Amino acid sequence: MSSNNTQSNTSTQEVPKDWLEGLKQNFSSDLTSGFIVFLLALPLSLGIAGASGFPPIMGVLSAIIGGVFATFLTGSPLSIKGPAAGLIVIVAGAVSEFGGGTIGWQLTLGVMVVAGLIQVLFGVLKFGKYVDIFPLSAIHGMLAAIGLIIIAKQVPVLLNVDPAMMKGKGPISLILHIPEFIANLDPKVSIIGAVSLVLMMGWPLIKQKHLKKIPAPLLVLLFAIPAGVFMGLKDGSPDYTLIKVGNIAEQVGWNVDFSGVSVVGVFIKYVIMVALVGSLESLLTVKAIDMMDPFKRKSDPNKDIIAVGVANTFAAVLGGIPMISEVARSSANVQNGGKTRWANFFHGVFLLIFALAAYPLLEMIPNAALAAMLISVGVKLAHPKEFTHMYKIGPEQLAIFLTTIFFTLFEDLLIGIASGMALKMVLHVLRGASWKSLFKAAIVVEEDGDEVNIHLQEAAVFSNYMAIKSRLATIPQGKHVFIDFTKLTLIDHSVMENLHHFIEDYTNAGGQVTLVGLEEMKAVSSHPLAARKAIIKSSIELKPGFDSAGRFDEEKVLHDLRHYLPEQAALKDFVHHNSLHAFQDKEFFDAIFTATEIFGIHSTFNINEYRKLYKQGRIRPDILDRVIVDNKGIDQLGKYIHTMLEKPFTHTNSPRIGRLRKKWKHQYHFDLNDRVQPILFRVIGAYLDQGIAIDHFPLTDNGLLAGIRQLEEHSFSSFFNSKRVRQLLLSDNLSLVHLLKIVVGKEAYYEQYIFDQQFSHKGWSGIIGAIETTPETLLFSKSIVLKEFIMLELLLEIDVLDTYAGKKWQSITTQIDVAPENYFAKVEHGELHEVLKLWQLAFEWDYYDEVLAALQNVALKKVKEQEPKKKSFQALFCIDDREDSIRRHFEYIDPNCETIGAPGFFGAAINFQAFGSKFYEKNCPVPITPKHLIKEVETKNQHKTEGSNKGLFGFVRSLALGFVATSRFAIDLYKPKMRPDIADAYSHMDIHGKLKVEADANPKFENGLQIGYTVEEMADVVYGLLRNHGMTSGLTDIVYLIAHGSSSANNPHHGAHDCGACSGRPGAVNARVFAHMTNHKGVRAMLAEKGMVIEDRTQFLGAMHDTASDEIRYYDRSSLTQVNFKKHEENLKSIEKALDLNAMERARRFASIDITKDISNVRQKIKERSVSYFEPRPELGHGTNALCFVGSRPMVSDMFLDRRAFHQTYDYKSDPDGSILKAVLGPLPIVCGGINLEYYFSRMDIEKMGAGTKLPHHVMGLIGVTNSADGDLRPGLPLQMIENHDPVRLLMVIEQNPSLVLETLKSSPENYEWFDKGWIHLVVNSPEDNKLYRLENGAFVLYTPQSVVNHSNNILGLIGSTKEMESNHILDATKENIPVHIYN
Amino acid sequence: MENIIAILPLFPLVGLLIIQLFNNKSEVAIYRTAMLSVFGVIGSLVVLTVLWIQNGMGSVSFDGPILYHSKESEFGVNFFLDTFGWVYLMVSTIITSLIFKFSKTYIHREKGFKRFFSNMMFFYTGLLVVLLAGNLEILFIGWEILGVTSFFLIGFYRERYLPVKNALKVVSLYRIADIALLCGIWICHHYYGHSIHFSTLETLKGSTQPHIMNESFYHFMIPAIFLLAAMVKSAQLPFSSWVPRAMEGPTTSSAIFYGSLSVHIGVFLLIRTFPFWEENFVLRTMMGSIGVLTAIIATLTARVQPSVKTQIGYSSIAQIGLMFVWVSMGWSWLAIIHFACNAFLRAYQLLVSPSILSYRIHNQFFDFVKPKMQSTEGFFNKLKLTVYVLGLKEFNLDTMMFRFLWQPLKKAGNLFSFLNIQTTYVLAIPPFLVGFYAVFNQEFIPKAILSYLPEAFALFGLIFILKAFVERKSALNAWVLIMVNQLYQSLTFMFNEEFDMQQVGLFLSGILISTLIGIYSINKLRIQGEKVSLNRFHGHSFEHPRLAFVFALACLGLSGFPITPTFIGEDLMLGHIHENQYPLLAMLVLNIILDGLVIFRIYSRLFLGPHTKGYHEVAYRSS
Repeated sequence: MSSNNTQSNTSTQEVPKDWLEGLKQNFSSDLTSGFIVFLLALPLSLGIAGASGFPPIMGVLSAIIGGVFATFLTGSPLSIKGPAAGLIVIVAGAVSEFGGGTIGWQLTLGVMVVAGLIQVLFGVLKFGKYVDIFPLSAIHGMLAAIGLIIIAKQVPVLLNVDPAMMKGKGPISLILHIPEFIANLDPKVSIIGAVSLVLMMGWPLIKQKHLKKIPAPLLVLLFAIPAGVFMGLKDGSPDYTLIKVGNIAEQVGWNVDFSGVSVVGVFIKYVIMVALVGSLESLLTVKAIDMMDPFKRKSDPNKDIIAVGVANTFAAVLGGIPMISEVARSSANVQNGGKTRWANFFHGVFLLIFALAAYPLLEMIPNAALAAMLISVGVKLAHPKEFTHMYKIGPEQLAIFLTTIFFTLFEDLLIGIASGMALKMVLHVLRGASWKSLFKAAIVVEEDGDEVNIHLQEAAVFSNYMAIKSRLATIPQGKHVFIDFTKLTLIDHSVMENLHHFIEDYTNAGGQVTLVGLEEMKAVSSHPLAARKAIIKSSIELKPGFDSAGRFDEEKVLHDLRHYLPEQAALKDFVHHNSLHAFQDKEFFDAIFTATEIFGIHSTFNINEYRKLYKQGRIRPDILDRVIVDNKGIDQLGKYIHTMLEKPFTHTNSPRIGRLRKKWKHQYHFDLNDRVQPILFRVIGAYLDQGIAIDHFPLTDNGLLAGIRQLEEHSFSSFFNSKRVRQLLLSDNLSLVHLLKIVVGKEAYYEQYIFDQQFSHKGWSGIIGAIETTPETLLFSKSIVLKEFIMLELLLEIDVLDTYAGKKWQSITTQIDVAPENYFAKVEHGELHEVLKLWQLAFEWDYYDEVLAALQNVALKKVKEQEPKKKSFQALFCIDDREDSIRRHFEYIDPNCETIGAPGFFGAAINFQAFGSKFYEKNCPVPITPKHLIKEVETKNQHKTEGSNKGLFGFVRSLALGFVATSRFAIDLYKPKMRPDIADAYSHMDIHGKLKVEADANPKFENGLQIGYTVEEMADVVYGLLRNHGMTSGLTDIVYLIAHGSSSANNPHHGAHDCGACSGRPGAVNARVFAHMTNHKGVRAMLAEKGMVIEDRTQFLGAMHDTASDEIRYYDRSSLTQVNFKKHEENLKSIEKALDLNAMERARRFASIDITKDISNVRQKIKERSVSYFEPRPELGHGTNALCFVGSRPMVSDMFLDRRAFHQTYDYKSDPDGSILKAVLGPLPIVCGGINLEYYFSRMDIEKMGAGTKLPHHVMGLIGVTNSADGDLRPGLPLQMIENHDPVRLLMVIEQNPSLVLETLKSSPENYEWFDKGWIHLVVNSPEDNKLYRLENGAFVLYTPQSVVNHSNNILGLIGSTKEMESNHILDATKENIPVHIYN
Repeated sequence: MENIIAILPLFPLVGLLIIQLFNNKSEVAIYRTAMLSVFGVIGSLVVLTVLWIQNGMGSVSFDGPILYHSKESEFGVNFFLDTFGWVYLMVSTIITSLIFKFSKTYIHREKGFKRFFSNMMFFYTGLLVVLLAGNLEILFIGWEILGVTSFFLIGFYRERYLPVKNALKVVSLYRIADIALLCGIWICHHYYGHSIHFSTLETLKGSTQPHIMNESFYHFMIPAIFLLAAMVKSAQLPFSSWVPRAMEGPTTSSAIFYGSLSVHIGVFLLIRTFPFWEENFVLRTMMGSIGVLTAIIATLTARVQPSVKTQIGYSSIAQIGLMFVWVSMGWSWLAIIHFACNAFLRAYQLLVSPSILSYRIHNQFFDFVKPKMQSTEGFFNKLKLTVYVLGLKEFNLDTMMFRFLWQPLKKAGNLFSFLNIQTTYVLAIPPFLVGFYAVFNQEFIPKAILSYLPEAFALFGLIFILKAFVERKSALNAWVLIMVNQLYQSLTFMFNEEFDMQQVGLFLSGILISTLIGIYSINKLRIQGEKVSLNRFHGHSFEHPRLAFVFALACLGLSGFPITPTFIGEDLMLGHIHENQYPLLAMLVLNIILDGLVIFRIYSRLFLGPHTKGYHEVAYRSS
């Protein structure tokens, strides 16, 4: 009941006495009050009984019994007993179900007798306290529904419609029939009814103090009776117009009939309803009246139920309607000065007198007047204010309220109230309470002297309030009570209200109550007693030393982030680089283990794999011993051998990155990434898309966020669901920090969060960082910065959280219990790391030692036999390891030819523009910025392109193309050939076209690039290259410049197969340009001046080797002299043979090619591979690369290195001061070291550092590949490129004096770092003593190889000797790498 | 000639079994076996075609042995071939043989080479069964095979997160299509009183059972349910978004499944069931509208996708939308031609999709014109931008599935989170015993109560399966709950007056065995110290591939996959639901759907996904 406590604390005067003394003390006030209540009770009792289907006088009878009899039993002095409107619905239902009329009435009485006894039982068992189980909103809902039913039933009575019309209609249909009733109304009586209703409703509005004292029902009677008489209702109207009362004395008697028991279901139902609802209403009344009592007396609810029960039984036997402690009359009693139980008594006495004496007067009352009274009661129960009041306490209260009303109206009271309770429990569970906690006492009380601590735990809700209440009742008065809310998840309105009463009572009794942590809970509405939910679920002790202060330096964090993210640009520009370049300032092992700890990558094999390699003999025991001795000293050998071979280790995997952001999942039980990433990747993919989508991202010129903002403003759709996010996006002060504040909360965690977030999709973040620094990697330029991408992701995160985590989600650090972590703090390496390091070293040196043993062997031999030979031709190759074998075969077929290795851009650092092309291509190593532009100025064959479109109108296309495509495809499966969509190494430049190499007399510039070289510049380039490679004299008639490129089909990574020294492009242009330069007469003249004479007979010829199809094509052959052309034709024969052999050597690795077949067949198969759509391994790329040899060719030309070595030609004799060495070494670490380390890391962790297997790849936006429509970009190398790779670091061997090498290296610190920090191993072969020296800790130390040297004179046999790998696991795959051999 | 039809599916099936004899390294042997079975099919097809043409190209049917017979239903092995089936068969066989050839090199040295070919063979078997099925039951068997192989091939890279997640997502949707088909069978049973032979479909019209309560209802429901199944499998609105997400496996499997053969099967189903809805104008209008709408929405989506496979996927869906239109107009011949062309084209496009990078970039060097900035003013431009945003978001189709399908189920299941293991069993056993007793003592139970008992037990079952659906802790608990649910399901049927213990026996036989195998597998994992909770993926197949296989079989058995008699039992028992027991039917349908989801979920959580131990490479979640 809504509490009305306006008078609650007016007086602290003495409490009125009870019983006879009280009668004396308060006689007059109780008498007055009793009289006024009598006036109220009389008509209502008549009306309620009538509406219930009882004889009207039986209502009065009950009120009399309630007053005269129950007074002496009640435990609640101020309550007035009598019939209640709330029971009308139940009693009327019972009467009608039992057949109506007198029989119905009498059978109902039987129900009531039992119900009354049960009420007595309730009281005896002290069930009074259980009233708190019923949620107030449900009870209010039930009463409101009753109000509605009363209204529905009384409206026709008010209109004096024939009761026959109402027969068999439920409340809803009664309401629906109101228009019909109005059509049939009785005009005279309706006027009385209407006026009565106006009086009932309007009277409370009167403010006049004295008038207010007159009860409205009295007023209605005073009006209605005379009006009825005046209108002659008694005779002139139907007999249902006036009530029939009759003499009470004649009617009272043994009316009860128990034969209703035979209808068990109905009987029980109504017993329960009457007992339950009656008790409930009584108890609530008692509670409400206690609050109004100016003397703050506490009633005994159980005693009151007993009183009601006894009175009901008694009344029922005599024929009376059920009674309760009625709230309206009771409150009128209090307001009119009633002080003791005698007021109730007097009210009964007055009723008795009146009923006996003046009943004829009662018979003059029109039913319509009573209906008006009942309607006004109904309106009070279902007043709109009730609805708004509920809503104010909280929307969920309204929901319960409405549910109860609904079910009460459509089903019945019990179901109604049960549904309300059920809904409330469900709501509690949804709010986070567990089912269990709903029924578990949620209170712990600690008494400590004068202080009492009450800890409320988990959920304090109506269903477990009983337990709380009984604990509260045991608290002694007068102490200081602290109620602790901090461990509470949920407290509902019922408990809040009850606690409120407890506090009020307790403080009134002289105690003190302090609430702890209530403000920490969030109210569901602004109402002071609204239900509350915990913000903090559990209070966690912060760890000692916890510090969450810290500043966020945006610029620095973004810079660091770009630094650590993978640097890989768009796939068309695939360039190998050290995947862990960000750690390159550290020593190699420190760096990789640090990276492991931070990012969870694998940077070595696992311990078992090393042990298996050892068992297979692929790590030899003597090498292992040597590594241990070198690193740990001889005395540690035994211990380490044991540790490395036997000691059990487990690899743990708990990277630092991602630790903070993981908390989302714990907090909200859904995966943020699952919801954010798909849309994020889609948007960024579309934004950066280079030409897969037919409709491109419409607004990319002003940056990502500007584009999205414009879309947001100008489209009718949105990427976001949350209004807040849309507002944020469009607001002027949108900033990274602002978004971080919302999502992350505490500033100290911003950096950590951003790293977590961006590394959860390092592919996309990495490419954005790369585009930010090198925008030219996109042909279709897009404006983008990493910062905006982060902001977009944060916006999407807020969006998702707003959508799925509810409006009240908290930033991630709100409940944080750990200090912010610096992910890049120093990593301590444990024993496992030490062991892995030694294993990796052993694995590496096992191979190196073999190489060095062979090298030493050759070196010693070469000292003896040094005879000059007549060279047939010279061929300048790229240093690339894939050219190792072709060079070997050149020399094998034609022992008189000479091959020279130089970085494949041949000194010509250029940008190239094909004829008709709209873009330049950079053809030189990545760190160099070209100053020259070479244009193709003429072509024989136009570059062909095709248009394409898809979509709805693709229907026609698909009809036509389906069969064509499939036939073409079927043919290609069996006879692959070059198609337009295959990456053709020779297609970027027309083989018959012309280049503009020489600049005009006045050089022209285009976009800051000089078009062509001037003669002086050409001379410089030529001079530099020839001098560095010892080609200052003795050039042959034809010098081939053989660049390389690679053709492959269906291969997004084809760029990774092209020339690393040409920024991942075929090097043909450079070869051609360089040939042009050297053949230039003016250049030769200038060179002659410098003392470098190139004879006229010598001609340079540009060419390109396709490393996949094993073809070499030549450029500008027409410029050859007739003589040289002939010689070229001669050379071609040997070159083709060499290519055959090369194809054969490569084919041994390809399971699909049978190398025992004819060599032309093998060659054909190799060629087909390069144009086969179904071939994921057109070639093996740099797989197995491990060496870089810097020295003269004869030193290694007799060694079989199995395509594992880069070869840079260098003649120590012509370089006494190391200047050539410095020039030669310049690009090597970044090119060879970059390739080597990219392979190393992709091999060690193909999933996190490599791109995984190619087979499921999707091409995304023409810039990268993903595994999935909703997946991250996959930087790094695909599995098919690295599966046969032995992950060892590069060993560079230089043929030169050690001290000169050291001096030269140190003069270029950024290069020296590669060697000093161990990212590349360095060994020098000193020509002076033919001994080997290894760089260790910044100094050269003598190294003596201990391996046995393999000899073989049958290179082809050797190639054919190894088996096919069994699987691509390291233990199988690299078994087929052939050891180093010396042949001849 | 009839016999050849029956033999066709046996070729790949035998091939599949032979493949199991080889280990993963015997790539050549596996490939040759696969190719030989395809050639077997091709050879037989040639003979069949010649004979067929000689016989005037009419439809051919084969009536095989009857697997189960009872008075109210029979389950026979029937095959049927007509022109449409023949065309689909030819296209499938050509594409399959091409893909096999392609895959030989493409999948070379992949860890799952054998797994790949096994699944492809199984898929091909299933496809042949669907194409040649002579009745709905046989068609359903093939249909299930397509679904299961889809699951395994989407999740082919089972050590990564996204493939597994998406496999689950797709198979969950497929489950809806499967159950729709099952309901179709059920309704047909009631409508026609016996199982339907496609060969006699034309003559069935009008020959209805007299006891059907509501004719117009059935008239509409039968085709509507087939339409639903077709919509899901052929990715029509609103189910379109699964196609791009299904492209997680090797390109070749994506090509054959989602580019060509599997995704068109809905169109085939509609053509097959044409007589059911031929005269149903409302349904045809619906079908056509769905087709048109899908064609438009999928086209708009395809146009803006930056990922090439996604684009091809949506383009293909758009074409299938048009096929729906043709079918709805009665132009099945046009649909089947369109299908052939589209299947060929999309398979081809997907297979060569990786080459788009070099191809387009090369062209761009010469052709690139930077597009003009899109204007933002005016209604038309705004509309364009709107369509762009919607297209990029796939018209919210994917989020919709999450929000309106999975999220509510999860929430419903979470309501029962208070049930722990003990309470579950305490709650499960007594009502079951009471129910079981009640079955045999029905005379004691008042009629009014008796009629509600099946619903009550179905509801119980539903609660347990919901609980299993959201169980996070114990795999074993969830697994046993499935069985409890199945027991309750069978209890539901026992109250039917035509109840036959033998049918329940059929139903439970497979379930009990599967449950035991499952319990054994889970316990074996647990004994070996592995985690068997369901709150994350464990990827146990990494270390226990054999156990993973065994458990997968148990899962298939438990889910009523046609490898155990459970399937027949399920079909029979479903047949006992009365026409007017819609609430019961609805509960059972929901139950069977959930049951499948739970089983696949348990399998995935235990055996698929990133392996938890840190000694080897594990891919990022997002990759």
